[in-house]
Amino acid sequence: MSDQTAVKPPLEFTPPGSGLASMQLRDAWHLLPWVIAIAFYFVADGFHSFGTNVLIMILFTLSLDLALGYAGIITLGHAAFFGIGAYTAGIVAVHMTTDPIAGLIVATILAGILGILTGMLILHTQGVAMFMLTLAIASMFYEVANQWRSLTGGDDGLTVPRSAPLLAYFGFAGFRFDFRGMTGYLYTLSVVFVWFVIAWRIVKSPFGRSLDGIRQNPRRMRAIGTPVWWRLVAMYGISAAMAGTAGALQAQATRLVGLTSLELQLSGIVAVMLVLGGERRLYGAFLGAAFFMAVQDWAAAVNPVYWMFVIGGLLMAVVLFLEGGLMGLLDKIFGMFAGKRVENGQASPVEAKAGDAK
Amino acid sequence: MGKMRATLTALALTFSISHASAEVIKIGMIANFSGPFAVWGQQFRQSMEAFQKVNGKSIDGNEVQLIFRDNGGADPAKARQLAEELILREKINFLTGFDLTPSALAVADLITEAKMPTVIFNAATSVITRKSPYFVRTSQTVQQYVEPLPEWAVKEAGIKTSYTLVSDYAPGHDAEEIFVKKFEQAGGKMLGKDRIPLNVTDFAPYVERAAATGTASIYIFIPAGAPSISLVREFAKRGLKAKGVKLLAGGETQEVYLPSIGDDVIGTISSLHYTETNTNPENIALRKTLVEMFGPDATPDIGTVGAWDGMRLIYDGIKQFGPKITGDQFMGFVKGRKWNSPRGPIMIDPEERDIIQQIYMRRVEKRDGKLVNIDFFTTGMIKDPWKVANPNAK
Repeated sequence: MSDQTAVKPPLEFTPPGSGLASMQLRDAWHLLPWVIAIAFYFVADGFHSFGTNVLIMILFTLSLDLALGYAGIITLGHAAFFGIGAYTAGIVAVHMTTDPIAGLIVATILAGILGILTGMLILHTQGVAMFMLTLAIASMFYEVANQWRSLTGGDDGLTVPRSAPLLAYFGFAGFRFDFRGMTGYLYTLSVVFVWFVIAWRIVKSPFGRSLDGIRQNPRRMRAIGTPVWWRLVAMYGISAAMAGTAGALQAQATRLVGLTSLELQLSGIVAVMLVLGGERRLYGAFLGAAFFMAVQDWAAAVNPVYWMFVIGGLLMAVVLFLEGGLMGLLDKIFGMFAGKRVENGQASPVEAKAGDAK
Repeated sequence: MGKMRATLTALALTFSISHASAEVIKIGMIANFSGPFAVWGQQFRQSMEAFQKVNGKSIDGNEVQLIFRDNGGADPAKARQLAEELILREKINFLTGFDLTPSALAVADLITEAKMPTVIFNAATSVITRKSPYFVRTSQTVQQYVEPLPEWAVKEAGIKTSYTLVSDYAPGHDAEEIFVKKFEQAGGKMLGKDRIPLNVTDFAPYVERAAATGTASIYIFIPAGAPSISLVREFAKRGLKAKGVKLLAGGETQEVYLPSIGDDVIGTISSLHYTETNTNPENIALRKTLVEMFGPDATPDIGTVGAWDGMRLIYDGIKQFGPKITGDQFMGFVKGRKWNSPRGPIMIDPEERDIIQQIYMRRVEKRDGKLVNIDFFTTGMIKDPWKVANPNAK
């Protein structure tokens, strides 16, 4: 297993300093997920709402990757922000405006603020204590939604009106959200793309690199003068805002917000998707979420009674046999083709695993 | 050679004719197959399969296919997503199932847009059928079967005080509303009301609080399944039965759950629209088929009859209008329809597309070593009281 520690070119990293603009031909594969996503729109008749749900979970997984993967914040309460976003978008649509983008922005900002506030609290702790606090905070949000029936509908769920046409500003008629979910799919895809670019810039920025350092050795980072706590709070806030956007998108797509959007189970599932795809890889979220949901969809259709066994078995297989998740597997396959050619890589996020063990 | 060609042509012809005339009719069903309410999905499914065994898997040569999907818990968002998939991907002709109210409410505007006829096999909140003109219900409404209970308790059983413990979601609120209203109208006194969140599994504090008021009876409403079993057990464990406190129930003491509760449940009074021990020929045939197909322990419940009658309605509709029956044709067809269900005579309300039926008062007894419900009183045909009281509410 010596290749585990070998310096390998991280797939999603271009050399430092080169932005999206200076992409070289060998980086063209970065376009692949987006080409697939757009192609899906044209060929997958009847699957658009499924595709939309996959995109939403990709965004949610990506948000967890920022917090758990890059910043090393161990959280099992990320559904709190997803749920906050979903309920906020739902409540905005019911009581204020059905403009989708307005709902999205309010939900994102509110989830971000709550992320910063709760982050300020939990990021004073570490390890098990932090883990417990994230759980506690998620449970609190869940109970608030459960009890505040007049606003959230409690166990009955909150029915959200259909969004007004997209971009219907300045007299423009906008794009109507159709029954088949085709507009919804493109809308969701665009939002995911915007967040992906932001996430990409963040993890490549000095700020993102400093979080890499904090995750591996917070003491040393503090010693060299990094404001560790603030950086973690900032990253947690960004991650929460992103999760809030995912929740808001789901509220608008499903037009129903239930308590399940705040449940522990959802926090668990998104962590599973992240591990499945591969942490600290950005595209891991794409693979993990898409693969998990496809298998779930297929298994539930084949056997509606025992489908959870399939999901459980799959998870065990990935954890036991696929280190680094599906992205790790791809690395190995491409590594074979490329004959373990070493490029001018920076310190790879994969190889950082070695430093993880404290 | 010529003979062979003729045969082939004839074969091809018959094949193409039978192929052209035979349609596949798809019935999608959404219910819980996993989690605390999994018993519903199982009962629906067994009932639908038993119905097909008796009535055939095809109608006039057109195959009827059943497609099952797991709601996976009290998850309305998932139900909506599944309904969308069944409609757009599987291209179903009928949507059915729905054990819990939130899931049924979640699909209301979707089925209206898709003009998808939707038969509710259980979900019992009164308002559901008003949420879409494409809903029809073959089960019951909560207020319909609770209505006779409080009056009987006060007037016949001489119970003067009561306390309600209901699940904190729409059907629970419906049950609490009608029970309190009728109990007080009959001259009884309410000593308290408690609402229990759906996800609660420890009922001790609730039962304890009710008992502390010194009430003569406790009325419970909680979705049947693992939670209802543990609530009834809790009642016995606290020694309330020994103290003479009466337990008043509905679907919680159905025959299928009695073995898991045990002998403590003997004497519990409930009102419901279906008693498993009734001797209607339809019911005897249903029970026989279930035992043949699924073993000696297969016991029908309200989910079974809801699904059975829903299938009856769909089959009869297809027989009349053919395999290409539209949503609007079917909804016109169901209005005012009457037939003999395993539970007794029933009809579909022509205005509300909801069920009108008799309600049975029952007591749990032990017969031949088996815990069963025995009818002791039958009402006339009852229309959903909530709809009568709220003619315009939506």
